[in-house]
Amino acid sequence: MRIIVPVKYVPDIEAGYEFDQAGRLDRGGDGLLSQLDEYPLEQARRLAEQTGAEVVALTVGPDEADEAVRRALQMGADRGVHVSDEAIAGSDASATALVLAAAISHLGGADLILCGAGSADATTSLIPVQLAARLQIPALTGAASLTVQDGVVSVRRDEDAGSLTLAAALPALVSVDDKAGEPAYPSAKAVMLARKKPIDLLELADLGVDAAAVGAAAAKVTVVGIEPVPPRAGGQVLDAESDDVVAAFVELLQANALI
Amino acid sequence: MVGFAIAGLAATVIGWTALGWRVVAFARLFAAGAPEVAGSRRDQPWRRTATMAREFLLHRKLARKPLVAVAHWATMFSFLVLVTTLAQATGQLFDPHFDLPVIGRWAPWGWLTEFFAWAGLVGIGVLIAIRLRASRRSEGRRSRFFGSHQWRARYVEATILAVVVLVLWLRGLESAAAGDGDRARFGSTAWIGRLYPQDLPDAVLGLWISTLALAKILVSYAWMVVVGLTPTMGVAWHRFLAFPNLWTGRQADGSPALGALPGLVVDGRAVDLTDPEVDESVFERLGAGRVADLTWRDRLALATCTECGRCQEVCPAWATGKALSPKLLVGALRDHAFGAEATPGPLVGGESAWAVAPEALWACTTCGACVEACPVGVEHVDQVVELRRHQVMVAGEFPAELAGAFRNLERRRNPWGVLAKKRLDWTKGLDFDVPVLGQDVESLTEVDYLYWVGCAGAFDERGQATARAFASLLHRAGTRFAVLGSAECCTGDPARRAGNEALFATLASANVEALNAAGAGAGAAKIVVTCAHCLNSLANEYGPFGGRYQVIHHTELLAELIDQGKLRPQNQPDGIGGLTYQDPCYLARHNGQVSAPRRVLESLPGLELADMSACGRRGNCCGAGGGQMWMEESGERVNARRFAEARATGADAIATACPFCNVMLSDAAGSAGADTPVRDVAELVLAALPTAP
Repeated sequence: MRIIVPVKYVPDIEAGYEFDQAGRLDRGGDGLLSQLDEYPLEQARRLAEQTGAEVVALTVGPDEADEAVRRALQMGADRGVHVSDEAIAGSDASATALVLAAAISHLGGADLILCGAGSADATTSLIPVQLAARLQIPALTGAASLTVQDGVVSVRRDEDAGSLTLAAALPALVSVDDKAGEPAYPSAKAVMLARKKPIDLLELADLGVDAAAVGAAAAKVTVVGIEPVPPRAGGQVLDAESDDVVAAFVELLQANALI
Repeated sequence: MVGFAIAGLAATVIGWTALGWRVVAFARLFAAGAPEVAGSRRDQPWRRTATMAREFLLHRKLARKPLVAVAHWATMFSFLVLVTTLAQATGQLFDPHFDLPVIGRWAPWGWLTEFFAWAGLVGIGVLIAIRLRASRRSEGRRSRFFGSHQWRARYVEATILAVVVLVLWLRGLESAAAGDGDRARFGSTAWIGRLYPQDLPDAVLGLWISTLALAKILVSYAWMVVVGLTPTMGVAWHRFLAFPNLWTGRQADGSPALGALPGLVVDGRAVDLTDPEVDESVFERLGAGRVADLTWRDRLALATCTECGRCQEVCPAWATGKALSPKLLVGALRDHAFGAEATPGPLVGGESAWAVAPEALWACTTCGACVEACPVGVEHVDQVVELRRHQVMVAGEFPAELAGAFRNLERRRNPWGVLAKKRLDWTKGLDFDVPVLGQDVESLTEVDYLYWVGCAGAFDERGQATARAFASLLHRAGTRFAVLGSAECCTGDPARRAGNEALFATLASANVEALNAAGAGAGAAKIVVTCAHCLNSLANEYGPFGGRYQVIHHTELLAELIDQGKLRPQNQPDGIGGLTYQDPCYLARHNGQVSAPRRVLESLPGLELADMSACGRRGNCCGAGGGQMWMEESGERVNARRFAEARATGADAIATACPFCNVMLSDAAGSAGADTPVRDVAELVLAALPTAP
């Protein structure tokens, strides 16, 4: 069995996001593996432990993105594939799914594709379903747990009203949410061994994807504007020592139509 | 009489065989242990011999309980001297008038024997009384003997008591049997002989002597058989094994095995985890996970532990009801290694009844009080870290909270997980610019000191206040200094002490690279730190990574600046009168600095410094070390206990010299609903300076 986990290299959210004039996220700074991708990697590691499956971490991104693949290798993936091409820069979700699908086909397909529930930066959660559509395989999204038996993957999806158990014959795609098991901290051994695991570099030409079909020019969605959330105004503090603090408080509540 | 001789000789053969067999078995067990680093623990043989002799003759560690020290010293020497009486008694089985050749009839030898027999009698009597008193049921966990094998100890004590009584009794009988002209050599036992009727026939007296001699022989050899069959009986074995254990201590000079932790070793060779070519076969063998991983010295130390409980008595984890007692941890490892329960299973967790409980392993603060207290040279902290290394790097089993700290250290290079670009946030609000290396200062040759701010100084609110105060003091004293800014990262101390040596190595290498690039090293500017943990790592642990620096603690520099008159404290700081001082474990115990912070505090006007009962090298931990800062604590809090001890001094405020002590004691004050201020020494000095012009 082969499990492919598409992973994303995202900017460090704490560093604050910076955007260029076209409204695109600056991906040049310090980044890391999207935390949401750690959950599918953990599930892949556990499945591989049970079944001996091969786990491939696949990313599409700039040169720095190999850091995310390296982390995935530490977390149990057997090998990495990094698709990087100038032409891909600025791609929207649709084009990214196209490249991922082409890469998966190039690798000879997968029995199971495990995705994160979304990326930690854009969080559109579009990739899992678009990728499944391009590969023409079933997509089970938002899995809180999953099992594979006799060529069938079953997942449990927790929703507000209750839980759903869904099953699909392999090959299939499953997106795993953060209710699935917490990712294990990689042992020193895993970290050391990951240094020697291969990461294959691929370009669009290797995948047979037309450069005109991807990139900013081919994007079907345009970012028209980006507005940061305005910083919160400081709260108002009433002096508890003052005699008329209660009156002042009531007045404040009334003025804001809270009572 | 023939029967006596046969019984005595049979006991002799059986006793020595049992003891000899066990000595050989021990030698094999130790030899089968994993090797120590080549050349270690055997270097400087003369110095080691001197150390061993000093500890043996002076009982320095035992002297903290003076009565125990004197009693133990007397008992120990009586054993050495009275071994000869075993030969004497053997002779008496054949001939009641037997005396040792050459010295046997020499009066001073007789007096010496009697002196040590009496000394041994008093000594063992005192030790028995102390043990009984200290292990009263009402003492519970507070007793240092809680969890010790009491009956084994009582058996050893009873043997010694019986032997010294029999030696004295025999001497009395011998004096009765000796002619009148020969009584001088029985200075203090002749009265015992006079208790017998003067007209007792010689044959009856002889029978008395032979009977008691046989009793003495049986008592002694029974002990050898019991001890020979019980390798886990440290209370007996320490009298032999303490010597090699003290001789092979980590430090040839006998100083406690604290400060730097030993590096990773597999098969006696240092393992460099930052080396990409490192042999993959070592990955399964990092740290100590099974008995096979215990080195010969680990095994020797385990067998030597006498269960006296001095470590347990000073352990902050034990005192607050945690599962950890250094004594019980050593006992569990020992029983696991070569007791009847010896199993090949994992040392930590697992099925064996003797496996160390994970809760115990992860409760250690690595404060080192146990190591400092141990009279026989057991190196508990090193042992704990070896176990943790295996748990973290091989087994992957450790408290979940630690994984968060590890991730933060990996991603952001500090345990708080704050971005490196915020490393200079602490400088906001200062009325002068803090020079940053590489921006305002080209190289370390332009400054006197590199101020290593540390992660706490950079990111923790209390630590930032300390950093601001210390930088202000450097500025006001006219000292030329610089900071590394965003190039600084965690020294790796929390990772290392939590067993993540790989992460420590990564961080240490990064720091050494940054420091060496800045020109740090011998002859360059000193590094000054406000954190005791940073001090320990930078000064003691970076050598193997190519970083050898002169590192001083900020209290040392402040003492110097005050002595030189560059800082002149004039005011009573913050109106504080009575003050107590928390010795950071990694400053005082691990690095021996107890005087500088006190000198600084004593130079501040209006302050009355009152030490806590446990202070200096023997101070109690705040609870943050060994990675505890990043773990959940259950039950009574170590910091709350320490805070209560601080309050008991009647002080209005607590001074600290480490940001972790500061955080822990501030939190404890908050939880206790007390408004006792907790201040770093630097903050107090700044508050004592005249208002800036």
